[in-house]
Amino acid sequence: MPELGRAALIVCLGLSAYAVVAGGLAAHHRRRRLAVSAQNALVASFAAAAVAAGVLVAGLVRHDFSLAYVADHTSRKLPTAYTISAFWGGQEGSLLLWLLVLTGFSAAAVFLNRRATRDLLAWVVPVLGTVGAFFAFLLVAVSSPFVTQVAPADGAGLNPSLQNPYMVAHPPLLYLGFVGLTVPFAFAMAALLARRADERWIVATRRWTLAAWGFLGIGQLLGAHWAYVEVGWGGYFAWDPVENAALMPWLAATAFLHSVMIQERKGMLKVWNMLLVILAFCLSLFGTFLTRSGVVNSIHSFTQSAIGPWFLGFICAITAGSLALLFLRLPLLRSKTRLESLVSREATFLYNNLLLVALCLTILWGVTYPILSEAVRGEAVTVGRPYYDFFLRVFGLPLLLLMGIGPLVAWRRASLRGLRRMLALPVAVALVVGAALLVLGSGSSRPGLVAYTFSAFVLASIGLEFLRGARARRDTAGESWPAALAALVNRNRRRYGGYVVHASVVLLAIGVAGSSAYQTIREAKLRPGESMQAAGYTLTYRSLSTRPVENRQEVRALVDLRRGDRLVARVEPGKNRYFAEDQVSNEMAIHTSWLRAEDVNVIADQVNPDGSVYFKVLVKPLVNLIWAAGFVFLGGALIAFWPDAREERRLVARYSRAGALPAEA
Amino acid sequence: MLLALLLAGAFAVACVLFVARPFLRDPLLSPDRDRLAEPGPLDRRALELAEERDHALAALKELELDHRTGKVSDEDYAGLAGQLRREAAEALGALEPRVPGRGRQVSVPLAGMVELPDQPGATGMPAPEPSPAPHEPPQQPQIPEPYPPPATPPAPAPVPEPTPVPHEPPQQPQVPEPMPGGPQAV
Repeated sequence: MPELGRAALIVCLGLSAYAVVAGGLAAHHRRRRLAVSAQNALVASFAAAAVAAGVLVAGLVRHDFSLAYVADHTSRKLPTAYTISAFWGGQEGSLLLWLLVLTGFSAAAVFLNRRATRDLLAWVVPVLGTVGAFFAFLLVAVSSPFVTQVAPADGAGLNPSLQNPYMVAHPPLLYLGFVGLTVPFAFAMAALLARRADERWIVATRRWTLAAWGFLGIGQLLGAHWAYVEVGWGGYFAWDPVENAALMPWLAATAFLHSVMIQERKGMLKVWNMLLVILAFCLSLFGTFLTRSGVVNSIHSFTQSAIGPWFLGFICAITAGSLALLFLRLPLLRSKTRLESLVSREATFLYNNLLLVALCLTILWGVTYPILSEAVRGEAVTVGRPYYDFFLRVFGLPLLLLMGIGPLVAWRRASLRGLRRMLALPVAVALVVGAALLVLGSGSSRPGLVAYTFSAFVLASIGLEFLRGARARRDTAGESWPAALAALVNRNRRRYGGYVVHASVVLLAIGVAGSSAYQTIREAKLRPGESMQAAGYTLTYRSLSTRPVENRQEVRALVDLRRGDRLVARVEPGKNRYFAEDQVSNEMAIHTSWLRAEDVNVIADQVNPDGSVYFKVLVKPLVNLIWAAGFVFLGGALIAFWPDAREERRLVARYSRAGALPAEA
Repeated sequence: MLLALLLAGAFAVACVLFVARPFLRDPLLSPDRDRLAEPGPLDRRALELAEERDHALAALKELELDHRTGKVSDEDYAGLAGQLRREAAEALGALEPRVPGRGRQVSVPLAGMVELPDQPGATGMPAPEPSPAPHEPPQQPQIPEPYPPPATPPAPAPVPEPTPVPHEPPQQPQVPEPMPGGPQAV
């Protein structure tokens, strides 16, 4: 029923446009019924987007190839899970997913704040409606998923690299992150439009920001793991423009999550926080633009399309409009307090912010430079990996160090003597670890050695924080160590949840340094029976086999992996040939050695007709710490996210008894 | 096709009804009753002061934790705590509306506004040990010491409930201590 889908999108566009106009008028003229009516329109737009999404899912499941989108992205032999995930495998479906998540979040934001922050909500509705109307317009007029055609006998199938379990979860998680950043942006703009300089917009969106940031983080790690196991080049992050597209808003949101704590404690950085919210949201739009416009040549940009100019225009309008509004409201946002000392927790947060934003803007420049170069000079200049790696070291290593120093510095101002005392043990641990690694031969990579040494420093610092806090509780309350630790974390969730997230970043840094700075790469062309060496492993190519499986033909090279005389594993790297898609994918074989904490990746780069195979072998130490970091990150984010009844009571007391309308935490 | 159009039409009508619901429910609402509530200038000022007070109390809470974990020396703690207590007191004093002619402040249920950071262990720390840390004499309005004289440890401090408006208002607004130390905690 494509007509129903089309009609639902038109209704969604109408409702979003009504939310913008009616919501704006209601907020400006302070009309209650009109404001509620606009809120209802926003809620109803979610229902309309859900109907459109339901129609597309039904078309996919029923293999309704009269829908061009279904025919272009699925085939009859495509497994059901991937048939459904084809919803976000193409441009039109991705935009519909954006709209569905956005209207869903908008309805949730309206529902959760319907009695709280009512004066702000009146302005939130038109802002959310504007973004929703834009995406609905794209789907109605520019890139519809409900274009019909004479149904072919079978579809073109799904890009083979998307036929992976990770791709079922990775794009929706990223979209939850991208779209989630719309809510803090809408509340920030509403606060400016309503001339409210207080912190209710921060309180109302604290968890939205944390959730969006968490989704983006987990989504990126899933994407990295997908690239590692599926794309078949042995890496996990290639500074691809679309990977950068997700990283940039995450960095901006990370900076915001830190700096907003300064505003909540000292009332400082109000303008800076607004700028970061605008930056994070505009970068999330820019990320979608990069992913879906085809403007940058990337494996993710599967198609060129007409949405590019519309997207670019919208991003420019949103950026210019929000910055102009911020400029007009500058007098409202003046801070009464100032930074007291350059050696204080606030100052370390500020340094952290500057480094994060610098890294973010450096990446943005690397992504946009080829586009600008092509537009101005007519030739695209590629910004390669060395550029990004250089700036990752320049900004990333100091960031890592700050994660260790920050927790040890007191708020307001710290004495140098006290700081020296606090730093003594972590510095000693770092020096011992660094010296030990140097002796063990890790000096072959200077950045790797520095990263490991800094990581040891940060882990020692975080460990000490937990230890000192738990000991203080234990000394005074006589609690057991586990009880003291649990109480400490429970009563300071944001702080200790944040430390757990820091620990995950350290694990990530160790994993990245180990798997990139200390990896071994060997290549050789082998005939059956021949062997090659890599980092103490002997690989012997045994035979080649071919077998048909569901929608593809699999070619596999049988390889024995030995260490000394012992057979460690038998792996099968190879290639898949997909019939409907008429494409070939590289299928890397991975052997994980838990004892040696490393992965051995075997790639059959080229399979020749004479049976010889060109193998590429990568031995990556500590790479699995990157995936372990994902679980630790999730744990830390959940601790920080978990509602704190004590904090909520305090906020209700603040807002209700101070005479203002209450805000929900 | 026809079924799809009928469903689409029904859905559109349902959406219109839902959007028009506020007007259908109260078609003859007077403009005054149709006005969106918003905080006035006094409310906004009160909110600003409440945030300033909470900033000071949050800073006290952090200072307490930093002191107890060794990041802040006793001398620094005393100086900073005194300053923060003064800031909280100023915000509290401004939040307390004065009664003309009585020359003193009317108490409002402030305890409820400030009690939360100050529960035993609100910082993750239980009631503190007695401390010899010197501190400045509290300024007006009275702010209790961060480390009150110790009760018999480790008796837990009573959880201060939001105080109802008393019949006899106290002379000065009372800010509960950052870390109540025992039964005599405010």
